[in-house]
Amino acid sequence: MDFDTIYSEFSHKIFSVCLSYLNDTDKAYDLTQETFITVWQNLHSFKHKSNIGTWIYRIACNKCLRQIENDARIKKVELPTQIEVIETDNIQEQKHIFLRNCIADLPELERIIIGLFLEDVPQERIAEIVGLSHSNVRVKVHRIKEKLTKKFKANGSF
Amino acid sequence: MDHFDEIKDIWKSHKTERLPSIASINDAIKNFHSTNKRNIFFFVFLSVTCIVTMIWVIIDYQSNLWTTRVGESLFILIGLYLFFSKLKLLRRNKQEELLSTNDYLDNLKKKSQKGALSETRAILFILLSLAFFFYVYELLSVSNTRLIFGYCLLFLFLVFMWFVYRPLMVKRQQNKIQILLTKIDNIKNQTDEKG
Repeated sequence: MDFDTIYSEFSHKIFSVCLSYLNDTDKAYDLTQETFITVWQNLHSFKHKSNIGTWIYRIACNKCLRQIENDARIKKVELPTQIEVIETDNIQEQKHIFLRNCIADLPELERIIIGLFLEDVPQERIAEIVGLSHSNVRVKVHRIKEKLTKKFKANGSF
Repeated sequence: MDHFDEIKDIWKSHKTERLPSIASINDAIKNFHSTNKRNIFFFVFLSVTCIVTMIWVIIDYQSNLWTTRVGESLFILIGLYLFFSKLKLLRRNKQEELLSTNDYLDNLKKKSQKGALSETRAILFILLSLAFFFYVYELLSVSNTRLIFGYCLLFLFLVFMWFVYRPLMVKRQQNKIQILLTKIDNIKNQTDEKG
């Protein structure tokens, strides 16, 4: 698989994973770009022992985790409290912001796991990316789903 | 429809059209590559200039005392060590980012702890001090007063650097590293938890 194909296939997914971790669109764009620069640098050494997607997600997740070296906390995006009064066109966008803020409240590893899960990465592969057992990932995914659903219900966002 | 499926739909509804095109990502890569090359070129150019100047001074100075020669050799050795370690750092191809998250965190922790100890820096400081002591002997040995005064000044400067400046820098660095280590441990605990 050449670099151009990889970029068109994975750039949107990588951006979404970065966005779920950082909750900052601009930073997520930057990190996506950084991820693909690293992919380009190391593509020749990729041994095809693992799936190319797993390999790219792994780079992106480590790039995200590297953010702990910066002191800045994950920011929350401003959201009006009364979702009901917002115009219909914007409801989906507001719900998306609310979801991002809910994810931002999760611990670092859970943010990575849910970011990958929301991009339909199979749980076996998530386990491979983060270096946990499959059963551990399964339990974590279940708990995160519960947490997010609870917050959405409490906010009346369904 | 499951509630979480709705959440998934909300997530997928987000638009990502602003993502750079393949042409601009290729430009970014080219830019990154040329900046990297330029940095390495300037670094090598400056370092080679410094080393050549040092060698020229050694040849031109024509010292007969072994102390001066030892001082000069130590300076060159330290210079070469710094040159190669910096070059290695500039050429480093972030291989650690290819590891799994768990291994990446272990690696980051190990590197941070190593940075906190900074044994290499301490050894370099001792070697540099020794180099100065040997190198200036010939200049100061003209008279006893000059020798005592010169060495006292040099000694006081090194004492200040070792006992005042260095601990301050180490403390500042260790505070930063401690915060990072706590954050790493915090994430590591999330991976160790059963579920």
